Amino acid sequence: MSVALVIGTKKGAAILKSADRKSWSRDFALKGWAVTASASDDHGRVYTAVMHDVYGPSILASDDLDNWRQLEAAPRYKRGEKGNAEHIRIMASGDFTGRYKDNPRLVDQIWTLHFAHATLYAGVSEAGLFASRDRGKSWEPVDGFNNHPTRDSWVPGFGGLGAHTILTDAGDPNRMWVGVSSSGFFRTDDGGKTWTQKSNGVPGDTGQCVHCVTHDASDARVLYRQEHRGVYMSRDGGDSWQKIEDGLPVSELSEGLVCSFGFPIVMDRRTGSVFVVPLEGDNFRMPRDGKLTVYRSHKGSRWEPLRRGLPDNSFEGVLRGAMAADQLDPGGVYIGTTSGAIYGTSDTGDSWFEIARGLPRILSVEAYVQ
Amino acid sequence: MSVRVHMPPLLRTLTGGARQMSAEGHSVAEVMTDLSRHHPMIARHLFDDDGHIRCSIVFLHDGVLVRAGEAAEHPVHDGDEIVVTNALSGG
Repeated sequence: MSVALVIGTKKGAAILKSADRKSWSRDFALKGWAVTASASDDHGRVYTAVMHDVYGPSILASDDLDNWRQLEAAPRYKRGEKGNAEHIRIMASGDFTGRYKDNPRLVDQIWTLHFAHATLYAGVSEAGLFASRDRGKSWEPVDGFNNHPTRDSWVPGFGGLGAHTILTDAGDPNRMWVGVSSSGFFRTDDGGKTWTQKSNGVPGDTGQCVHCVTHDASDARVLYRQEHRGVYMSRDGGDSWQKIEDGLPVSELSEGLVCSFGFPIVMDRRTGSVFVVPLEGDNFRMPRDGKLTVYRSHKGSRWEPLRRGLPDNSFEGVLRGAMAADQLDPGGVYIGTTSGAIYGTSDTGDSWFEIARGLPRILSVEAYVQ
Repeated sequence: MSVRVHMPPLLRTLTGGARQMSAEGHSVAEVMTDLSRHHPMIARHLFDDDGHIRCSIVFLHDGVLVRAGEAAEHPVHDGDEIVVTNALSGG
């Protein structure tokens, strides 16, 4: 049993493989493309989403992580659709290509890929959901989500209006969840026709900004949510949320506003352990005192800091897609930093080790058991 | 008009490693359209979702710089060469 990590960076994918989770081989693929997400299907085929400022987004697939081929199609909105004005304002501010000048609704990035129930899903910005039932040969928009009645009021985060989290229910193909920064967390119970905001108990009607959500698809009523303002848990599929911050470091977001802050959240499904990487608030967005620390909670219980093997003098962040679990026994968890380092654990977080450094900014991390 | 098109390294991964390809057309834009017809994997990278050549692609036509917005009006002739490059800054 070996583990392969697909590390998506700003300039390509580092492919790391190990039979013992101690020594790792290293290759670099898709050079020049920002690798924003990856996922595997039930045949073990791995899909990666890439993008380039000039040449746009696309999806590639590989059966061996060595040879990659671009899929025949990629998600795209219909020509002539008008985009979200706030999203375009943000994207156009750094757009040297001029492609936003007519306010189009564009797929400018694929934020996440997810495979379930014989369907490959893509969450994109400008926020939308697309589905492929032929393993990427063709894509259909999920209109119930993409034309949501509240869409005109959706507000983007600093990185734009992105659908970055897709979760599914192993026992109910009609139920799934999508998280959008910074417009909330939505659930459908009718196969994507209608979607309901699920943020009751989180600050604001939609949450301030949902950063990432995780769960075990086989016990899908229990969800863990890293919000802009803290970590929350739901035991009823998202109908209600309770804050779970006991043991987590908190920081001041502003005068009188204190909470924990971070981006990724992942779960070791075998043990029910949940992992987050707190940063020192949204003002500073780096490990407190430069001590990179992962926190672990068992099914929502008090969080415990995990520092053994993690660096001091680390003033880097971990982005929302840059942490993954391999679901082996004992569990492996892997984080990639904005400074291009990879750290991992093979004992469910008790101790950590450096796997690689010197990579470009890390955008996404996925672990595959081969 | 048959024109030889030189591909940038980024797009060679989508062309099976081919560095040059032939295409037909009377303008730079027509050549890119013909190229995309025969190599659909490249099409989405040359043209945006509205069917326009992506604004940040720059062509060199026999050494003359042609921007995307000029490609439709820029004539080419049999045996000419077009180099596809990208105008991209940043680290």
